[in-house]
Amino acid sequence: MVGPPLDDFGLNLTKSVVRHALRTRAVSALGRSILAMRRNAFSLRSTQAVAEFALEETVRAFNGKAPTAWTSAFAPSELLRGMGLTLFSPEAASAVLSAFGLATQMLGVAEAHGHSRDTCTFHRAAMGAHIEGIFPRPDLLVAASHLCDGAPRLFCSIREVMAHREEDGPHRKAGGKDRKAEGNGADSGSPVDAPPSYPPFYLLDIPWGDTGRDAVRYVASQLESLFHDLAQRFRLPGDLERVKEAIRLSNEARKWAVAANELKRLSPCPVTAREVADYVYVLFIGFGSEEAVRIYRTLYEEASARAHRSGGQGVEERCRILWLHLRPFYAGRLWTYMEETLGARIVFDEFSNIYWDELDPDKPFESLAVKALSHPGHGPIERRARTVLRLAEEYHVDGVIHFSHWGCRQSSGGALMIKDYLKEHGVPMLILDGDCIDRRNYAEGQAMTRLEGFVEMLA
Amino acid sequence: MDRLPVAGIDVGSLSAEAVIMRGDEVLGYSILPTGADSRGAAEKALAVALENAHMTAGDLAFIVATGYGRISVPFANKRVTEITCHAKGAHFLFPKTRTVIDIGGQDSKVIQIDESGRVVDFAMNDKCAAGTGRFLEVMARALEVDLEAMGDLSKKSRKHLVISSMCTVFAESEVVSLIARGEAKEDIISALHESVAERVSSLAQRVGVLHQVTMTGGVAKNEGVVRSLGQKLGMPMNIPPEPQIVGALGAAIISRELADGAGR
Ligand SMILES: Nc1ncnc2c1ncn2[C@@H]1O[C@H](COP(=O)(O)OP(=O)(O)O)[C@@H](O)[C@H]1O
Ligand code: SF4
Repeated sequence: MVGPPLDDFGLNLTKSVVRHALRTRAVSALGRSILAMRRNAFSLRSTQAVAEFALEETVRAFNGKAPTAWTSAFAPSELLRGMGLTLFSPEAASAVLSAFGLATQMLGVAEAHGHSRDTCTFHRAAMGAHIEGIFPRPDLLVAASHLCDGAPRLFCSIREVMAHREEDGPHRKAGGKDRKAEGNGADSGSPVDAPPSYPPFYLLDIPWGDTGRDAVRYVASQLESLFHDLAQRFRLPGDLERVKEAIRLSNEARKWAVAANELKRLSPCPVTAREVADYVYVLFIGFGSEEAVRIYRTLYEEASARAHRSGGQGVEERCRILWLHLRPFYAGRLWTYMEETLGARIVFDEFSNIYWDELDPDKPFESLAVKALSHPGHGPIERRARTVLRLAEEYHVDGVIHFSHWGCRQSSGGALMIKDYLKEHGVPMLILDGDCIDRRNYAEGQAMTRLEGFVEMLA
Repeated sequence: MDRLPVAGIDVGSLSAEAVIMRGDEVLGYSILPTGADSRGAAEKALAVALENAHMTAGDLAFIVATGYGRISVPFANKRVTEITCHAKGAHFLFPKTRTVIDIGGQDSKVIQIDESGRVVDFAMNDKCAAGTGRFLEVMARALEVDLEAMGDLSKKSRKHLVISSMCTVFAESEVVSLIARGEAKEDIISALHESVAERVSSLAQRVGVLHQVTMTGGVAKNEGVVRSLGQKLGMPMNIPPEPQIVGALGAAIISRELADGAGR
């Protein structure tokens, strides 16, 4: 997620340019120059740091020495980072494609390969990009079963596509490594079976609605075997100390994120979701890295400097909004319009919620299991509803907007129940139907009327 | 202040309306087709309404524009959504209204309001034309009947038919095959009204239907839909004498409030 939508910026990069650019080290130079040119577009240094982190990590995924793990949202990034893997989030990458104006093309590719238009467009666009060879090649795939049922299916299909390709001849990894040499030569005689030339897929089964001791033990044991299996298969150090260090870093980032969130309770809110929306990337794959610590510490510093400096002058806050789920990544105008024209400020978004307690570095598997199980969207809908109400109260919002992303059962499925629950507690909610990725599913006029009507109702 | 004339203009997908008010009195109004040029339609609607009120644009203290074409009314002092305007208009006409159901050309919406006419909650149809006036227009064409005649015709229906498709295109082919099967037009029309009412009543249940219900928008002129919807909701509905201008009326009321506030 590279800052505000790039189509605003007028960059009309074609698919092939992106592909070629990404395939070489040029991505770094290209990305850096985009970031430099867009420096003024970042109102926060920390937001720019998120974009830089995403870019660096993506470059590593193409060219780096370490194996690349594709992870779904809410996979345990601390464990994988502690093992020295490079992480790639296809869901976040789909958002970038959408901001670049490339998602529609990728969706078309996936649809032509038989992927139903009923599925989530984050996944469908990722599938198209994978088929087109735009994304870095995964060395392994890790998904967690809670929340989103689309990711495990996507990862299965990704492997299938790769397996078919292998039948047509070995696949060269884009950029540095050559899987043919690795897979067929160097691996013979290794203690592990020669790895297949398409990547292993690990699915963490997070039991639904159960958060008790047994559930924790069950998830922790899966994390532990994932750790040992990866260490063996990819000949990684298997050093638990490094995982513990990643957990300490995660706690450190968490601490700053919580402190920054605390400031969002102020009126006027020093940083709004419009500025920090891209931090969802850090939430998905950043925790456990030093960059995440830096990003959240900077965010905290910037937010508190603003809070001290302005004391609230010059900002119109006609009403305060809590945003649920994500936003359309191609339609940068939507949030700008809300904030600047309507004076409705999105003071908090669901993906900024630090829902887990501090982790215990001495019990890495157990605490990561607890973290996974403590996601409010996991389990009965009442859990998410209660969390939303608590956030609405904590951040003193006037209303809640649920962006119902097409194909997202986990989020949109319960939206009406959340609305009813909030209504009982006197908090109005708007359900806004749309699509985060696919602009074909978006009618701006209709979205604006609903938003405006909602703001008129609150103000 | 409240004695200065003001205007409300509603530029809808199908029709543009203007209402001229002074105090609580409606001095003139107009209903014109929107056509391709929403700005032109807004100007014309205002001109006709002014003419009916025997006034000129210079007499107006404030203009509020609403409707999906509200952005293309450059001479408006303010733009307000049709959600707020329909609520205002319905509350003005029937002060006990708690639920407003507006079915227009491409939108249907259900609005819950409080005793003072403030919007408390609302829901709108999703992107498609099911449950809107456009749906009925397409079907009227397929049946070769006048839109205005549908309500009357449906009263003569003797046989219960069902249109099962929500999708306008599929529903149209259902209608075509019912005609081919020799079914009576009035029975088919009655089934179409049921279909619209079904769709809108489930939208209404989502928000919650509180007594009294006031129906606004062009489709409120269709007695057949009114009857079906009333049955589904299990309560009678207030129907304004000219349901199509309620949005513009609400806009005019807001104009009046704002003109007062601005001290003009
Ligand atoms: N005389 C009438 N009899 C029956 N239906 C009507 C009549 N006039 C308008 N309608 C219905 O009202 C719809 C238009 O409603 P309107 O409120 O004018 O829409 P909009 O605000 O979107 O322009 C038409 O699609 C049609 O179904
Ligand atoms: S939007 Fe929903 S379905 Fe799509 S990836 Fe996110 S959680 Fe999964």
